[in-house]
Amino acid sequence: MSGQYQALVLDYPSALGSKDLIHGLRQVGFSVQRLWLEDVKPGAIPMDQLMLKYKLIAFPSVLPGRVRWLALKIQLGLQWDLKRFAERGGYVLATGAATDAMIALGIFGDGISVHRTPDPEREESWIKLQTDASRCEWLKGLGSIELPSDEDSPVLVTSESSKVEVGVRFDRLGTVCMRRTATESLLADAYGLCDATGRILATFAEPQLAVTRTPSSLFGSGPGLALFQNVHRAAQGSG
Amino acid sequence: MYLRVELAYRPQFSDPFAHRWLEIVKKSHPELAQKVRWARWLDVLWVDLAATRDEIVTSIQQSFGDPILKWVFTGDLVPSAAGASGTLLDLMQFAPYRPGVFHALEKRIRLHQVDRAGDLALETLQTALGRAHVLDRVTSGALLLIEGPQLTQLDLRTLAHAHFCDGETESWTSLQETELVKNSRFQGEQVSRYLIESGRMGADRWLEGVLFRMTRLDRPQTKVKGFEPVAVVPGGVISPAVLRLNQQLPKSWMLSSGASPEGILDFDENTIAVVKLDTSGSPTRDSLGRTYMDTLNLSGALEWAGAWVHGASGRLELLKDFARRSGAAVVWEPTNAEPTVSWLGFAAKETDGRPWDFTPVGAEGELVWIGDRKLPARVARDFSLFHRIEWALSPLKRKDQVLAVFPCQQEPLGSCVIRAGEILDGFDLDLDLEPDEARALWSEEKLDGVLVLTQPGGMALLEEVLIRDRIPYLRVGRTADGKNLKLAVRGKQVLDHALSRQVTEVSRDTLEATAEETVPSQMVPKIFGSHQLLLTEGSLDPSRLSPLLFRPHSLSTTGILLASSEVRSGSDLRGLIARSVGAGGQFGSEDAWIGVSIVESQGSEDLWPEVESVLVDLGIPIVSYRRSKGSPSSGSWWVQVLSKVLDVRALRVEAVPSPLLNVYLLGAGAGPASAGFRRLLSWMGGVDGRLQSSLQSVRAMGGDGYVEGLNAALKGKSLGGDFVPPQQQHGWDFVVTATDADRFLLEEEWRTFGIGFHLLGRSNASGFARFSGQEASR
Repeated sequence: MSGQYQALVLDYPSALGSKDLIHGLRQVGFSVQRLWLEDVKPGAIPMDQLMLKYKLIAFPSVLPGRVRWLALKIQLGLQWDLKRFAERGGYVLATGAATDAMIALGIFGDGISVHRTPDPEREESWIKLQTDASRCEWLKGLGSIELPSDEDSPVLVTSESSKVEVGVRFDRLGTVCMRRTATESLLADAYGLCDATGRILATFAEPQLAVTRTPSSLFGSGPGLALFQNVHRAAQGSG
Repeated sequence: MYLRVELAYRPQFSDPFAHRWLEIVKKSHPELAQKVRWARWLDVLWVDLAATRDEIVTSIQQSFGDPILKWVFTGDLVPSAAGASGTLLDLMQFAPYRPGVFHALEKRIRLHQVDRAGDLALETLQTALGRAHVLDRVTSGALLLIEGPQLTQLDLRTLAHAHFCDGETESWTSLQETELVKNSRFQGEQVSRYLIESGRMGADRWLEGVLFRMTRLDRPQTKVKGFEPVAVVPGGVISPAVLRLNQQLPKSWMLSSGASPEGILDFDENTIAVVKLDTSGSPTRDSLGRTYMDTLNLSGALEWAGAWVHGASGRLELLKDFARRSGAAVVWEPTNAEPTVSWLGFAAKETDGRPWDFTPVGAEGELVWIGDRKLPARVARDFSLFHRIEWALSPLKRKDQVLAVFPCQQEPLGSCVIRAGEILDGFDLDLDLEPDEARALWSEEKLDGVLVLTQPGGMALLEEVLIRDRIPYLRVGRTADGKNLKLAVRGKQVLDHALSRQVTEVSRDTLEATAEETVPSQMVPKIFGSHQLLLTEGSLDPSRLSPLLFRPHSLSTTGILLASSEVRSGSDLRGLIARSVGAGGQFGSEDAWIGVSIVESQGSEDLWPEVESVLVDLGIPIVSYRRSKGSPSSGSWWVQVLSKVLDVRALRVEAVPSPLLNVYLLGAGAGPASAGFRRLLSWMGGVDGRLQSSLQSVRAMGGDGYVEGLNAALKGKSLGGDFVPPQQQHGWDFVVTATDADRFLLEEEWRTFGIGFHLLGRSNASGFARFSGQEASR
């Protein structure tokens, strides 16, 4: 397996699609290791080791009730600084409600939160998204993309006082990299966020569920695979 | 620390949970849905965390704080996370119809139901704290805030039953609008009532079921697993007629009175074996009005307090069989057990609903005797020692750290151990007692206390709790699965006394006594911890402070503080009262009551005017008064000061806890001495002012001068300090300490309340108290 980049898929209770993530990442050429979060002792994988060993860390979706738990586990349990990881060339993917955890960790700055409307009867659906690849390395050349979403209508919210500041900041940094097509406002339409390095992608959609599936068919490579291919190419390019 | 956390969406955001609830109500009860004009849903957590206030505040903010989306109501613990007023009023103000008529329904997960939300919240809080403690607990629930002027109590009940609360797994209550705008439901005392052992399928579920049915059923017969059918006679106590009826029933049938939750297992002319549920926590008499005979405790779930089987003599097998079926733990009590002692035997083992297996209990563990050798049982009860033991053990029992409890009353340790062996089908015991100690303990000295069998690793936790609560204990030895009580005692000297007549007598029937005489006496281990200090005669301090929980079984932490001491003068009594208030006892209002209990020995009448004058001055009533012939020593008075404390875990310590604290003297201040002293006690007892809780330690001086008081306060942690003596040498009542952060606010408050104070200096780790440059060795 020499020459392959190592990817780490974190798994935890109520995680959705961790197997699909592993499958997708392997398909594009990553060597993938899966780690059960609760088995990792605090500080067992220090940042230096993390950055040396892994090129990519993926956080599959989690139940909305576990968002804070996940954020605290990453921050205080694992003691990982994902922003630093990305600054040193690592890639991070958070899907579904794991995006909320990234927001809670402050990766995309302060002043935002996610408001969800849980609907137990809601089923997985495909959602059409406009991507902005100006900064995000995951989305290069994708344009419009259709991805599955299992989410409870997540909406980015901010306080009245910081709405303008957050809007300007997001605009300047190109943070919102995936939007629903029916455009209203930047925050209300945001479906994926990218950090300043372009290597951390957090999306409410579930690209890993679209590796082998397409909106119309259950065969052939799905649109989600393109994200993984992009990041594998970028990793190779950066060495 | 107990706390309640309520999480609500901020009013500017829609509340999806309330919205969904309303949608469901619209479909099934449209007429009720019309009456609900507005609703908000709050997640509620009842939390007990072993952490400091600061740690808890931080962990709540990290775990639940979302400055954009949610409000976190904690009753002023984290005011910045809630709205302007910090109460639900903030939320109500956003209701579209104002002033509206508000109601609230509150639900929580029932006892012994799996509480996933609670477990997750606990894990999140523990992650934020960076550690987990075995005693931490969280129970989850929800509060539904509804506005609707036409809603009646009946409507609310319908809503709660139909769409809010799952009666099988949750219980509910309704709250009035006045309660919602206050923060009293956040008080530790209130919260503690809700905190139950959650997350497990209950131990003793079967027994609980039986007892539940016995209390509720009004049909003459019903089927209950294990013992079926159960004949239930509704109403009244068990009468002779019922007893006769019992004789016609097979032995595995139980007959119960229905109203009185008891069931008869077996009886003959002399004894009766009864399963008894006692909800008050202290069994008094059996249904026939007889006081206790031999008793075998079958513990129920904690909230059910326990079940007793009376008249266990000769029925061990029957009762073990009952215990096996019920999944209950078994505790044997001696013939002369008194009620106070017998209720130490609760919930000796959580069986998680599995059948009780006797073998593993005897397999491996550590045997500890808990009690005070030097205190007679009567005095120990007055000291509330047994209550303290009960309180100390109960959380450990729930965590499976304590496997079994054997009350020991007026009997030598040897016979208590043998009885334990009999109950547990025998075990090997490595006795870790000093030869001299063992001789007296094993067969001569009559002890009052409990013998506790812990898990092999449970000793450390038990030790921690016992030392914390200042409960004397003695490690007896380690047990191993032997199936036979083998006292493998190391050291011949010990052996001679260990294998007393009682051991061999019992052994003839059921046990086999063996001895290993090969280990030389110098190998006898001396495993004594700090408890030895408490157990040796010279170090026994008869004057002590004992927190006593008011309602141990509801896990309320409101309690009574007993400060007991021999009193020989009015200033002794004044000092004792100060000590009680200093430690956390309340003083100064009707709610914050304080009283004294006096035992007067012969020949001490002369003290009465002095005592009366102190008590009248301070307005403290006498709770009980009795004369004693022999004890305490002639010419003196034995006085207990009883005072209410809101949370026994928040009691203040007497010893200066750390270096670099500001050390103050507090006194009555200007004006008449008694009025000043009352003022000082009122402040210290929490009735006036608000900064008492920021004191780090409080040492009352009584009749001693301030130098003695200061030295005593520093001695606890071998600290010292640089001090400037006050100009006024007398009239100081307390030595207190405060941090730099609290210092100036405290001084301001003392000035406001007319309390005299003098900053002596700062504590340090030198171990010497220096006064104005002169060294004063301690």
